[in-house]
Amino acid sequence: MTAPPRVGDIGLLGLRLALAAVFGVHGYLKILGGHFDRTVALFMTVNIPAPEIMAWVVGIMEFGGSILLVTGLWTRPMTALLAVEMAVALARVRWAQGFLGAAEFEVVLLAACLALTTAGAGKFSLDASLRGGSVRRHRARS
Amino acid sequence: MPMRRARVILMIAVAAAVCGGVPARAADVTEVPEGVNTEAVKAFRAGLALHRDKKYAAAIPLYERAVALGGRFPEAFNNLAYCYRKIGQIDKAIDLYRTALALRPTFPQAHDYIARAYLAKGDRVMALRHLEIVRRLDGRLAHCLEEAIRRGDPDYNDMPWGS
Repeated sequence: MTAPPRVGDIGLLGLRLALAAVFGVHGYLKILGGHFDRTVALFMTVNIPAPEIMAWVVGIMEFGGSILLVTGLWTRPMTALLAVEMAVALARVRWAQGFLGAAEFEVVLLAACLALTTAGAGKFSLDASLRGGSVRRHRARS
Repeated sequence: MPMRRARVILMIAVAAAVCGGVPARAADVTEVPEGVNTEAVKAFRAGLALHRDKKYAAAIPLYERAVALGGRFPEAFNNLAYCYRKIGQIDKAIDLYRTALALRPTFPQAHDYIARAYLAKGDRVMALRHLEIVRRLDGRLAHCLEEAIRRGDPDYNDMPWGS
């Protein structure tokens, strides 16, 4: 039995907001909240190339990504990028630390990002509004 | 009156910041770290007591036990590495520092100590690499390490317990 589409859309909205909260806080801490040097040190330790630039990239991606997740704009590409980030975090840092209390968090975030990449943002999103608008324009033209 | 009190507190804070002396480096454990069993912490504390008396060889089996029982216990790996370094087993120490850093990549003391271990091996490049990381994590610790590297003396300012 599948859930009615409306309920599924509420679920996707909830997932987006939860992910936005997590990535928003972590991104803010990286670029504005005093964790920048710590992030660079982490990247240097695990041999991420250009650690300072990558710390900015990741911080902006997480913080900017959280805003896009809240609004539901460009959800698929954004969550695909965040999924790649989580995969790198797992491979380079977390896997060596074990599953419980370490890798489990990134595994859940990776799965949530992939869920949104495949399912999309749902109805309650700018993506859906823009798509609806373009469909209406297409129909009006034909 | 409150202004005066605030000024006194501010002065004390500034004095403490400037004259803090050697940064505390002890990988001490006051609380049981998450995921580490209590037997491992007991062994770690017993090792720490010997370690503080500079009985490094005697501390090693206790830290080994802490590592074996503790699983994800970077403090134990760090201190075990320190003891191996002090008894001259530098390569073994470097391996153990690497494990500590895999478990906690932003562990300033482990970066400081591994830099000193590389310096003891004559690998100045790796020592400087870890100095760069320590600079990001702990400015005062970096200052001590920088001086040790400049002098080419891994034991310079290497006071693990801040005493």
